[in-house]
Amino acid sequence: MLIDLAGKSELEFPQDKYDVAVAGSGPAGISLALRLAESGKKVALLEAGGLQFTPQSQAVYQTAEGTDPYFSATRLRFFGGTSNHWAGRCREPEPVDFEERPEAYEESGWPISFAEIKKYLAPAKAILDLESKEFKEKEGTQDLIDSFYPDLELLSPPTRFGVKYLDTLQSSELIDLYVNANVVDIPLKEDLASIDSFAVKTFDNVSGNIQAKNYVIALGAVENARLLLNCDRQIDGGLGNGGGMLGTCFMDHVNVRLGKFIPDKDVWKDGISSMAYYTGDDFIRSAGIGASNVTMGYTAKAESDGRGQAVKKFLVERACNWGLEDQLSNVFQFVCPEEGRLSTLTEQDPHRKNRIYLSDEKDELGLRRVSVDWSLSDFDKKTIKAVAEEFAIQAHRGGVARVKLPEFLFEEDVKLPFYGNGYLVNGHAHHMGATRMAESEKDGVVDPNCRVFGTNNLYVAGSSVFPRGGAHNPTMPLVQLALRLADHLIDDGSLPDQEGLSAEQELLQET
Amino acid sequence: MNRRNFISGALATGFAAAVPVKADSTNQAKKSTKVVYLREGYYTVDGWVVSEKELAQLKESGHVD
Repeated sequence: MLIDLAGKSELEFPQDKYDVAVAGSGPAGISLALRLAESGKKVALLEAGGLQFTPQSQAVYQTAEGTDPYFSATRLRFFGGTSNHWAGRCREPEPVDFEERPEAYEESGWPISFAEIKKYLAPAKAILDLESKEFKEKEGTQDLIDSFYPDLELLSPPTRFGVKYLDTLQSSELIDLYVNANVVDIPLKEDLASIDSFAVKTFDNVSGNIQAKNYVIALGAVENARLLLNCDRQIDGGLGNGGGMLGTCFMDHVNVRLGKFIPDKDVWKDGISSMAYYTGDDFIRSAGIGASNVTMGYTAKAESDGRGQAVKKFLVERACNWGLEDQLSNVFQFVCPEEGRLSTLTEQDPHRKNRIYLSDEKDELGLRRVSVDWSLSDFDKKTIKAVAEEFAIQAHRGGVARVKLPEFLFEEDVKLPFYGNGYLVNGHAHHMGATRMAESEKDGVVDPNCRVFGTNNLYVAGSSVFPRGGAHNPTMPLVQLALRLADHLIDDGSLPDQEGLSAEQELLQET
Repeated sequence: MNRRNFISGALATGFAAAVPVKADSTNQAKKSTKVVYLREGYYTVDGWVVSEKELAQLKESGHVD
């Protein structure tokens, strides 16, 4: 059933109806709600925005003055969430991402095994319209570069969760979908551990409280941390902040324009325009670095786009011939003839300096806006440099390409975002961490079941629980984790069988 | 010979077709060539990754001092 709260003069919610209240209707929230309903659980699914984009709702995501607009512009606040502009690339985590590697990382890693996520792959693929499809290499990629292997990916159509699942949610007898329902507080009962309700407010300034047995926030990495930090009326520092970790260890994947290359014509033939590689496990371990994808893109002719193409073409040809292409790349983007570009999606170290915290500015609903500290750690710089050097050398040895590395790789003071001489270091719109999963509250915000430390019945879904980000796109694993959380809630708090699959999971895999 | 072709041209053609820097009318390019040690057996020349053997060839052909 669909219930639009916009325009209501008062908010009344059913009493004793819901097993679970879920705030957020992005990939995590909808996947969770559907799985719960499949098992007979009654769900209140609350979307803060409406069914369509509105500037008023989107403005709530605006970050505080001084924080890069990147952190608000990369998220969407309406039904379906950020899946509404998702590109659709899916990539699995690797077992190496779950290894304990204290020599590489200062912060704790995943407190659950790779198998715990892997067993939800099949249902996650079905949700993302990828059932019966297997991860495969980008066509044309050749296994010729030591220390790396051809990257594996699946491309979702991409699934727009709002479009795909609206009818299902509307017709469900077990899910009530509320839109224009902003969760602005999470009041606690007298024990200061059990959640009393989600406090809901509309843009008409009408308030009410919705109650359930269990509560889940699935608002995206920035907003999950923001809401918990704002809930400091009863608990100093906000919910789940007993160890001072709330908002910390925020991560993105670092997007680095890593250099250029001259392709070997014996390898780059038959119209091949790109190849994609991934760091091998042995290289990651021996170098003591994070994971990375490296994509090679090649075009055989000078290209420019947009207005004034003729002028650009003239300038590009001169710039390429005179060796000024790096300088001119600051003005507009182009590729010189017979050259390719290297780009990466690189793992970022979870470290406490990268954090989301509250400012004094407030949004229309009264919630304090966030500021974001985001920088490259020494570990990040080490990973980027090691990946670039190793890839350049191995591409040369393997006869794939001649690589030119950018000078900034050898500089100490590289900040985020970095734009220099046509090179770029910024994010991939893959916000992760800030309510990280850990064994104890001294290392994180949620326990291995995604329950917020210090609470009995509040959970977090989404990539904000990732303690590490690997170099895999986050959407598929966050859906897998949402399904795992659903099973935990279906069992009323007891973990699903960790050794094997439950009967339901076996059935899903068979189908 | 232009600036871009100075090193990358030499590498792309396997040195044979690259015009030695002595024939370069814009000889200034040679002076700004930057060689950086990368790791054992590998260097960069103006950012381009080359092996130690190739660096020796570039020096021999006059592309690099």
